[in-house]
Amino acid sequence: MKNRLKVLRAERDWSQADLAVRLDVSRQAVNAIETGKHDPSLPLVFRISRLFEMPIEEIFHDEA
Amino acid sequence: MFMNRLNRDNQLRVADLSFALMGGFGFLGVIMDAFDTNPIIPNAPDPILTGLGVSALMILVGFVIAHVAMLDRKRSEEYAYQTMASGAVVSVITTLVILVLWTTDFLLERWLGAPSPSQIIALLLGSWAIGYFTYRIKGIHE
Repeated sequence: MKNRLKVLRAERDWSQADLAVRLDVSRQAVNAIETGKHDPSLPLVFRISRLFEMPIEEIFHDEA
Repeated sequence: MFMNRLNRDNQLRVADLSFALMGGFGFLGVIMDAFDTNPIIPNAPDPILTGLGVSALMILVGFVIAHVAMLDRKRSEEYAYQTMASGAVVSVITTLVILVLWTTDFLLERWLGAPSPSQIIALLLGSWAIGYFTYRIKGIHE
């Protein structure tokens, strides 16, 4: 699954560690999500959506 | 918040270190146990009682572990947990495949001898570490 997390994070001038704090996950998890190595769980996807105040489908894109 | 951050990041560091150690012990265990030339496998005094006892133990321990794992999942950092869980799948399947090959007389058992219980555990831990680091480095969805 592709996502715009890195772009959205950069727009807000947040580091991976900053975003990790806001989402209550590890910095490694943020890195893995951004690089497409890890698909976040549904609860985490909702947290991301709330944090960026955007609908989920504007952040995550199904590759299919 | 800061302490929580330390805990979150540390969970992965602790997992990395634990799996590195586990992998090391796994390989060491498989190799070292091969030098045990006197494996003792006593006959069960009552096969039915043994079968029932082991089955009851499996159900009880399996049930308890399943519930502990649920709590663990709730409390853990989700990326760390998913990496460990995916590594565990690799471990179980690897161990089963190797055991089938190893305990078949006309395949590996002819050259390697029968596996000991500690070698099976070492195999399980070693392959768990391999699975964990494969997913940690390459990612789960690459």
